[in-house]
Amino acid sequence: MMTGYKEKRAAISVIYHVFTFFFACVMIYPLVWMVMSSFKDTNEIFRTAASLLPETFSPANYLVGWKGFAGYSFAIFFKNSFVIAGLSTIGAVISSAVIGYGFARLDFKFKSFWFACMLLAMMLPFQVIMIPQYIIFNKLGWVGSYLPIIVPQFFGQGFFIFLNVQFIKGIPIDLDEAARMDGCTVYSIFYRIILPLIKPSLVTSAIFSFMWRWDDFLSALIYLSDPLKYPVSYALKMFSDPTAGSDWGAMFAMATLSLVPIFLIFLTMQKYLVEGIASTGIKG
Amino acid sequence: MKKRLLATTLAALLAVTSLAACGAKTDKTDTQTTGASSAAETTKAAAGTSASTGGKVTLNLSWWGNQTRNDVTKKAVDLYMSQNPDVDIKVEFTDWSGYWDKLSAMAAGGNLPDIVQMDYSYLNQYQKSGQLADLSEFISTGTIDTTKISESIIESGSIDGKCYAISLGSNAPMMLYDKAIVEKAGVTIPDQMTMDQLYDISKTIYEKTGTKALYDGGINMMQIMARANGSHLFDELTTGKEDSMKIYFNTMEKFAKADFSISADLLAEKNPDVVETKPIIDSSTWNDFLLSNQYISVSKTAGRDLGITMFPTITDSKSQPIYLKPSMFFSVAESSKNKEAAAKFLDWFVNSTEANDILLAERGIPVNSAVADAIKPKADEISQHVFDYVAKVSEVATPIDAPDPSGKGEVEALGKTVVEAVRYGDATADAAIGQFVPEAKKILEEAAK
Amino acid sequence: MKNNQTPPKRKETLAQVLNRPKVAGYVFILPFIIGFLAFLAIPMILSLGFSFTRYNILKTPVFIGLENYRTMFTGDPKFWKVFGVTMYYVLFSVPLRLIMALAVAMLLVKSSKLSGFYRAVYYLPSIIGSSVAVAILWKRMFASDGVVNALMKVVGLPGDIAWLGRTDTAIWTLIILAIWQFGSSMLIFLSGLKQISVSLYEAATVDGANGIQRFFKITLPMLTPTIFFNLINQLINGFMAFTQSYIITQGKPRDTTLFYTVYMYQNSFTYNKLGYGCAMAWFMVFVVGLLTLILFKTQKKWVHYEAEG
Repeated sequence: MMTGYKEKRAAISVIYHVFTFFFACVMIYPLVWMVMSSFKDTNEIFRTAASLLPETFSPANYLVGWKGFAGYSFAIFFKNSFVIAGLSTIGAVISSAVIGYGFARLDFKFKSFWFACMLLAMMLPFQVIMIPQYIIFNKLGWVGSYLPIIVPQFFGQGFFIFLNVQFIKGIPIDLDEAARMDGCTVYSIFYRIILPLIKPSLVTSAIFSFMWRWDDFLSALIYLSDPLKYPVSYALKMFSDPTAGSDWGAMFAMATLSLVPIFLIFLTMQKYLVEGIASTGIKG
Repeated sequence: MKKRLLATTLAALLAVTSLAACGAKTDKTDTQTTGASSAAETTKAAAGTSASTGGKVTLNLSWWGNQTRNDVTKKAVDLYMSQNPDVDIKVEFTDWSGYWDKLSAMAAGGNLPDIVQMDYSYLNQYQKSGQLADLSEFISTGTIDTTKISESIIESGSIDGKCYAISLGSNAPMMLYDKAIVEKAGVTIPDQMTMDQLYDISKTIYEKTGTKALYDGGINMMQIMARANGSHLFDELTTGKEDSMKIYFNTMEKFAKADFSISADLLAEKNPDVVETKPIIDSSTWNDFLLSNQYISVSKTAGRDLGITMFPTITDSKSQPIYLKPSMFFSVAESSKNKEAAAKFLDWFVNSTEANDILLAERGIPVNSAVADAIKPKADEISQHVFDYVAKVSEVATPIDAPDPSGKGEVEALGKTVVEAVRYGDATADAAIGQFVPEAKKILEEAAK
Repeated sequence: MKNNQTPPKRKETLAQVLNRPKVAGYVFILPFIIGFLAFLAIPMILSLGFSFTRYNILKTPVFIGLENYRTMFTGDPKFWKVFGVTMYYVLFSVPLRLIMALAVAMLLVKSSKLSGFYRAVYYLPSIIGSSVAVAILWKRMFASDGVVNALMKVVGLPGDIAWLGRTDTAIWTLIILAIWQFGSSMLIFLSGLKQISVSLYEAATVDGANGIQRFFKITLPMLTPTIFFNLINQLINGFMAFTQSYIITQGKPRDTTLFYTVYMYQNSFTYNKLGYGCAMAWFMVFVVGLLTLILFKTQKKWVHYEAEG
């Protein structure tokens, strides 16, 4: 009955960790399976799918997979993915922050119309605008290069714009007004007040943008022709051919490798999520 | 009036953005032909990807495939370029499903690659919309040498007497069986069985070993049954005839009800559409149906020697249903500026032993008989089985059905839906026939518009 | 601001003009407008136009009026089937995923030595997206001899269910996949939670509020903009879900996992009826747009924005 405060806290902490840890194992099991499979012999994967551990650990899949296709190795594909995902992320994060501020804090004519356009663009499946878009980019002479994939990212992405809007709306307006009293323009308010405060949303945008661009194969499929320019996501598709036969071992190996960069990005970025507004001490 | 205005506005919009242009001259009857083709010209001029520069001819070559195919094809292309320094071939490869999305986008943009890998099921559609070049003149001038290629193989790439696609290899439908299980059950598998025999053998095997049987419910089986019945699937469906479908669905139902058949839910889980998850691999069933080029992957994944027999036929069949199928083709785009150079490459790809020494029948058994004989000894043991099987089939095979009509994809999907209904016991054979035949007819009519 | 150097008078007027919210607003959203008009508006209008045509991509579109829409509503039973499947999927996956994401975010917002590790682990399933690898993986998990059945046997339940083969369970494998990949919503919740000022909590603790009261009085209301965002976004995502159905189940069995977008894609590219596909797409935009609009209208009732006071 008379359990001390300290002991009670310790008990809660143990329960918390046991529960979180156990649940984490459940969450991660399928991934472990995938990583393990990447060390199995490629013909073994389906026969011994029920067992987690490979009969013998073999790096063969990694060696075969890394070789890539027709002399184009995964070193090339990884480099391409970094270029595409990196540039796209920079473009998307910056432009979406700017646009988000406009929608969140400023009043102007037809604001709702443009906002609706943005949501509409989020709702329309890419597949049905793919053909017309291809023709436009073809007219511009961009097909075959990274331009159709990267350039649109510099004009804001609906998801991130919307995310920033929600975050900016969560910031007390008194801050803006105080700054305006001090003679700040809307531009300097954005740059000096808002931007530092929406760091969590910028970091989130960056993590997502990098991941989505890294995983996106559809635009690479449509717009790229030269295998020298293929990104990892697209190259991964080429291990499987339902009409002839697939090298699942190599695919698992390269799929596992392709997770490493997005995971590292997440690990480095998530630190900035932790030190959010709370630590900067804004009064609510 | 209003409708007309809308139509005109839309047409104008389409013309302005030149979206109506699809890279080739389409039906002359079309109201928008002038706008479309002139726009097509501009697109082509703008694209200019295959223009020859400085005496050097550039060809774009596009195919779908896996790692092996990508590797060997690129190697062959490199060899060709070293032998023909005036030709520069830019390769482009992708996976099967992405390939067709990309190809349609390219066709819409009017910049189809010079040489495209083509599948039998898409041939008709691309030819009908004027995307493919007529190769007949290159054949008659001997640019593409066909003396060692059988007439029926050239015909398989021809529409209305003109050749639009050169087959790169031959496949044949086959039934696989697990030798060990069959032996244990003490049955012998004939070279080609009837459906009744398959039923009886499956029953015996299930009783003796407990292993279930697979009955194929795909469009391949429909075509085989129609052929055994002395007709062709799409000929029947376009006219709404039920004859062969009656045989098909009744057999289907008979197998679906038998307790020796793999259950519908397990079958859906296994997904026989993907080579590596076919039920025979983990002995969920003792048999399976596939095309001969898939044999190598299946037996490698299964890790054991699997027996091959011909696709079954029906009792009292009117004709031998088995056929040789072109595994895939190369076609030349109508919009290509270097058709002659492309044709030369095709000739080399198909007829040169050097090239096929590298390719090693990865696209099916070579169509040039001399080349096939030359490379057979170089193939590994598993591939030898395929060579032997295809050779055996070619002795009895009857000509393949005409290239699939537009709408085939949708009919195939409809077939799957209806077959599943029968498998799950949600529909009788009669109900299935009553749904499938008229709906398929409607789809084909719509697609022909 | 100190470094706001006094500009010459002539320029000052321009600066003033640019500082007007009405003008500044357009300056800020200008990139969006340019991008929208250049890359999206024309394709969107065209796809709407195509929905009134018979268009197989390779041939010139032919105007057929409302025929596609008529077929869709009255002549294509599969259309309503896939619509139902998608609604069912959205109805369950969206709320469950959000609840899961919020619960885990609450669990992980605490700073402990391991919190970075936990965050990473819970986020991991989301980074693998829905590639072919996930498809194989997921099918293995739910196979008759897979780990899910094995676990059920351990706890004494019937462990021989063909999850992916039964018409009543297959869709749930996809819903569970959606819930498993709650990481992105969790991340947004986490950053939302971080935005809540500690002083609010301090004040509440001084007032003697316990953990549960603090959650309902402070956390939840302050988090409503984030919840609103996640809700809208997951709703759109749910309807747009494609790869799961396309790669993992291919709609099997009996089309019980055939998503709207997959059927739309099949029509557009496999069956070469891009006109019909566009009609389907715009109907979906209409439905999702309507739901979004309703949510936006209810916003005033429950979403709490600091900026509004």
